[in-house]
Amino acid sequence: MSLRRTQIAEQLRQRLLSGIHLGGLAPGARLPSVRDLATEFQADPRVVMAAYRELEKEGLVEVRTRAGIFVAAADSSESQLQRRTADWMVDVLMEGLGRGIAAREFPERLRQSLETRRLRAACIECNHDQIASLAEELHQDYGMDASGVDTFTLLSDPELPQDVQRADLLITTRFHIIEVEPVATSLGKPWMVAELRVDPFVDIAHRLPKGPVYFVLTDPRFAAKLARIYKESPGAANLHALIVGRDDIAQIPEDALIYVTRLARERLGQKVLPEGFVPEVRAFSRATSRQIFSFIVRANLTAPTRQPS
Amino acid sequence: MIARRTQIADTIRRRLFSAMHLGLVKHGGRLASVRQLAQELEVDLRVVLAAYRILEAEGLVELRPRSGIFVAPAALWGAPASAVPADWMVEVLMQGLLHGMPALRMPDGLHRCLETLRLHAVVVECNADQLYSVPAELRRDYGLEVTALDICSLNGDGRLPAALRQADVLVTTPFHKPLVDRLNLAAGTPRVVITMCTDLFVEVNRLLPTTAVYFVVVDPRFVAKLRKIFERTPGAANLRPLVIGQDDLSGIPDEAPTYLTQLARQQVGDRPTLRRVLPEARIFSEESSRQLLSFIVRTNLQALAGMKRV
Repeated sequence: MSLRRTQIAEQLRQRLLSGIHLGGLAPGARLPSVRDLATEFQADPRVVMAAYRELEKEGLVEVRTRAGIFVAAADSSESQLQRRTADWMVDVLMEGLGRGIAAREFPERLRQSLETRRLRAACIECNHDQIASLAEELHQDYGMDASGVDTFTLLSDPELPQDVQRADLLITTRFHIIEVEPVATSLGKPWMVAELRVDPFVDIAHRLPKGPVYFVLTDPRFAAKLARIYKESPGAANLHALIVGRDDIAQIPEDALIYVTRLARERLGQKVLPEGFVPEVRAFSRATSRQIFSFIVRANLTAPTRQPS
Repeated sequence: MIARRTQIADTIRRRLFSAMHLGLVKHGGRLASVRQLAQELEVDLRVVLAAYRILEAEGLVELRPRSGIFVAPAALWGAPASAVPADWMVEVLMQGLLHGMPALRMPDGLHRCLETLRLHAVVVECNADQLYSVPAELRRDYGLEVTALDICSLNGDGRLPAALRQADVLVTTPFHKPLVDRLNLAAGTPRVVITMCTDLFVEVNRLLPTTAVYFVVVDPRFVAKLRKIFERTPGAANLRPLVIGQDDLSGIPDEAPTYLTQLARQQVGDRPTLRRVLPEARIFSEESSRQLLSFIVRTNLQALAGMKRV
């Protein structure tokens, strides 16, 4: 009797581990009932139950009275994340196979569509904080060589800045279409308007009537711009912009909502920030991300020349 | 509507690739009309047309007004842009960003998910033809290290060969699942039962009632297996398996559809006498590919997580 139990436990363990490795069985998934397995193995249900109890002791399954038997839950959020990543990668690789790309060739194909050409972007804005945000995001997430150009320099210099002349792509925000469009047209360069994610702006607008919102930044021009953006919002007086190196960061009350731009964060260095500040995160909207990737991929994969049919 | 169009495009693309692999269509060959496909897939004509336009943009097909839809010329297929359609790459990169992986880290990230560990697969099969083709696909498409193991070498004293004891994954076909299930492997060694891509079988099933179909193989044991696979097909008598070195290949009529296993192809070379040779194809079904990739990616990610902790 106990030999039979050990045999069945071994079979179940093998199936379970194999199922988990192959991704068919997720933590928390329901396993076949004792009755079903008893039929399959032509064994006494009590023997099957005992086998399941053995696996329960090993932490592989969970026996829930009157509910059924389940794959034990994953113990950490790390493994959950790992699982999601794995599922996504498998989907991508499968799509690749469907298009005739072997899994092991895939990374190389991806590299070809990203890194065949080194692409330069010039980020045009009116203040250093936003310039730095655009340039860093383009560099970190999209791998472009990104430089920043001040709208003031763009307009006042008789010659166009080197960074603009050498750029493969000009990028700005909707505030400066007026300055960038004629330059791009005269140079015949592609240009785009980066749309920023609206949620931080909406959050701030909601928050203003309720209490103070502090912006820690570096360029007074960005402070002025923010004041203009929120001028009409209820509670506009609650908006405070502090400039690193000029204003005292320590004066920020504890309950305030605090935003810190990338450049400000960099300038502050090791200096301790008030707790609970909101660091600047990815700023580009999904539509903008897609546009940037389209530009990069298309620039890398040379379009085939169509034959006349 | 847009989702439906992409779905239909995916279906047509899969069929197209597989039909090209199997040699059922050629560059410049005519494809099913919009009307035919709409009927078969039970969707609106406009959806099918929109799907064909997607494939046209990828350089896979050509839409000639009032004349029909054709496979695009080889020059377009060979171009890198059609091998990696830009729109799809963009989608992959977007998803990467949402999964917290910046673009430049993706190629390397994917590479690590596939090749951090040198994973070792053992293929258990009963004939030389499959012991050649299954490992070949595992190496070529999935980058696995593979040992081919003839099932006959397992019978006997019940002791496991060293390769099996050290295997990370065991691969076999449904015929041998019962035997492989009984093997006492290291706990948790996954067993992947490879099912074959059905396109070839569907095509052979379609041909058999009316035409003789020749299979050129190396191992006589594969002949028995083939007969078993097609035993219920009407016209099973039209199946003509020939073994290299045993049967006379010059007897194959010029116009008869002929299938060579990969091993047979190696041994025969390009013989001008065989006219309608069906070209090589990927043999694993979609489900099997997914199982293999899941195993590879998961195992590598686990290893990576372990390295980070140390």
